Amino acid sequence: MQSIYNVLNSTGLEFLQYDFMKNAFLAILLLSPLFAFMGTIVVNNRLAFFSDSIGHSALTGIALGVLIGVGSPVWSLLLFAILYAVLLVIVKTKSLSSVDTTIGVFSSIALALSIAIFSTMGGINKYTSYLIGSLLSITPNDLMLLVIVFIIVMAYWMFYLKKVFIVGFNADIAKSRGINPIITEMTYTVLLAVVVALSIQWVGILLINSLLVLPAAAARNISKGIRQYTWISVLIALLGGLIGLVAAYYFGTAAGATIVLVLAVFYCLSFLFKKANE
Amino acid sequence: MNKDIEINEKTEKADCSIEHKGVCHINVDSLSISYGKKKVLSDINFKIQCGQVVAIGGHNGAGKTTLLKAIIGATPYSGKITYLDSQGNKVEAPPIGYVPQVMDFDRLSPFSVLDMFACFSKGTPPWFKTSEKTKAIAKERLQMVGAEHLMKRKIGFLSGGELQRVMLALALTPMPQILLLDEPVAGVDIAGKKQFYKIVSGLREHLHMSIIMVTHELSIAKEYADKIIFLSDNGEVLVLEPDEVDEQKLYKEIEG
Repeated sequence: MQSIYNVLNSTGLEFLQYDFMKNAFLAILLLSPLFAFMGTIVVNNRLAFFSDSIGHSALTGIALGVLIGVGSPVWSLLLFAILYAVLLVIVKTKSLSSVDTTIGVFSSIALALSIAIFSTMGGINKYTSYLIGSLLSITPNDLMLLVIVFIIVMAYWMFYLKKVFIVGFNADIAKSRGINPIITEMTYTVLLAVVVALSIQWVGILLINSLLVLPAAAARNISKGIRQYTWISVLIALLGGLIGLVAAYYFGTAAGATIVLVLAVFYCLSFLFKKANE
Repeated sequence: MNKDIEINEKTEKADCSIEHKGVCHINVDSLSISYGKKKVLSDINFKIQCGQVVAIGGHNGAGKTTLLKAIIGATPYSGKITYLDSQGNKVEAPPIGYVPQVMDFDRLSPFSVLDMFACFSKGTPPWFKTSEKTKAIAKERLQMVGAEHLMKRKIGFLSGGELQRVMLALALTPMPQILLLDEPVAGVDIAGKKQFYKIVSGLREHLHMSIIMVTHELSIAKEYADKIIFLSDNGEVLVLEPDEVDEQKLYKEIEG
């Protein structure tokens, strides 16, 4: 770790002189592409509302963790998010009501449950840090965990993602090719739940979905094929992450929110670019 | 349309005595399907040979689409669907090409036609450079359906007829032994319909595939089909020769 710090020190950049900024900088380098990759599917398979709902479930996971009294709420949060994602996929596949209705029902239950639990323990105020998150609180241990998740997501990306796209395109075509749509969707949502659950302490429940949706939504406006779509998403996420972090440092604003605002600017530009080319 | 696949409107019946590794017979025995308490299909029996085009007609809600979904395994059913090769040996899970009726995908999807082929083929995922092999296969399959000029287009910007042909080309990647088409030409003009059916009968003739297509217009389909299966909403199933088909009479008699 120290050697990486030394490299960052040698850049002589002012905003990198503190260790917490170095950690945040490294976290952005890992988190942005991670979110961009996952986001390309969220946007392409029309799962934006779904990923938002997984974010909501995180609050319930934290509440349950605090109630049961396990050490760090991260583990209960992770477990609950996975369970929630699996259940949501099953119900949305079996149910005849529309997908957004089902997700709406799930989100309502998750939120109400978490607020009810928090209220028995003296209110939600102690836990608002999870709503907003703090990128600057990231530790070297967190970074190691991020590296592991990054490798898993990349492997999934290489070997499994075609199936996810086919299922998103048409579940019956997937079935005719021997791909099980429910299992495929579940692997993806569980992975999404893991990424969301782990990042929530840094990014915050309120903003996490923006990081997933904005880069891919912007890339989609300007890309000519799936290859451009994927790599432009990653590029926008990285640029937005780094510009946002530096801006937050100089303006003294919350890092997560600043990054989302920069990404939103990218989205607006891509939208104008698209309109200009129509 | 590719010149190599110039097809007569009516081809001879396929000969299944040919030594043939793949599926040669599809036997459907007492197939029944229910959605909850509602019986959609009950006790359906028919046989299809390779090199045959079978058109499935019938009333709305009689279970035409459901029948195809049972074959691809997207709907649970009772009864048996068995595949046999020319020697009478069982073939497990033969490759099936499927073109669904409704393509409800995002029209702003970033996928180009070639990207779809990269997704449906083995090899590198489509977010890397598409391999020359995949490109060659895509070109060949698109040529078979007269759509090679659409390779670089985004799928969301194709017309209904173009999309159907591209979906057919995708269903042929990798080359299946059984091809299922659900109302492939709904909303396409007469010339487009005839062109599509010609392509399909070309596949039957050159590749010796078994082709099952659901259609609303038996009067056109019978010109290209070897066998007609008619599902009526009272549960009756008729297996007919094409020249036995009198569409008006068929719908009327069963309704009466």
